[in-house]
Amino acid sequence: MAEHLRARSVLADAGGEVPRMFGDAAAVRLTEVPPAGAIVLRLDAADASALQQAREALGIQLPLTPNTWHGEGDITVLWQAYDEWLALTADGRQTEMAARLTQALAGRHAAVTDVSDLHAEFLIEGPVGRDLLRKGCAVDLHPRVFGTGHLALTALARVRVVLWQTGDAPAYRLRVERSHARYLWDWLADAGGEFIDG
Amino acid sequence: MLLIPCPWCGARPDSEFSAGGEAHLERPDPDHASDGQWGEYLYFRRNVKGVQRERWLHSHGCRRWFNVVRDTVTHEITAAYPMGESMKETGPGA
Repeated sequence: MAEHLRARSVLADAGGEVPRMFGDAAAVRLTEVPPAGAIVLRLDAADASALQQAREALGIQLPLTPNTWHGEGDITVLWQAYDEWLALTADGRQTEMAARLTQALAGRHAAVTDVSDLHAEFLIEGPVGRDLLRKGCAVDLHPRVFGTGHLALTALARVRVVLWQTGDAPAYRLRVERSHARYLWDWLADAGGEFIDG
Repeated sequence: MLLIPCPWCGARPDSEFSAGGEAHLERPDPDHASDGQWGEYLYFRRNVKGVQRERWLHSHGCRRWFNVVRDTVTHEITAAYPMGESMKETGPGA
């Protein structure tokens, strides 16, 4: 039964009146990213052997530096707190990923939780993407201090988001709780209007 | 806007945080505390005018509690440190 349930677009309820892509690549383009598998991993970062086992189970190093992320292949791991990470993978792979982590960390003070239905994810790309985000985000996104590989857990338009930079163009990804996603999409489209011709 | 230095995320605007009041409260053993001691613990705070130690939650960021040393008159923040660190290690402040 469960395998027939598929995550829907967070904008699907709009009945097609809201485009799932907005803007243009010459200025800024906003795209709804298809649903991904997401796992929250919590463990004691001071426990080197637990970190090692998580790394082997994921096949990728957990970022230990605050406000950074790390990706390899189809797995991205986002720093969330000193004892918490958000691991993203292709939709449908999360159950297996969670099982591997749970097995690797069995008996330890650790938690593995499937949160694939928690967030919607948007891609913001284009030369003025940074200016658009600056309209609602207090974190300094200047390339001198925030570049590809950086991440911020912050508020955008008063909504809690996970924001991370994936390219120098610049390109950003952001994850927002689903119940706030339509609001944030509308805010971004409204705030981006001034940068887009026509 | 008040910039609060989260020990993990760095300086962020106060709108990302929730205030948690006076820090370093010691919870009495509920099995042995008198009603008076328990009432003191629950409801009574020192209301310092000057340098105060207080708890803050980075609710829009890493969602972790930490302690801050803040002057309640000038709002100047002189230190921020993780939960569990003693007052002695982190300098003066009531």
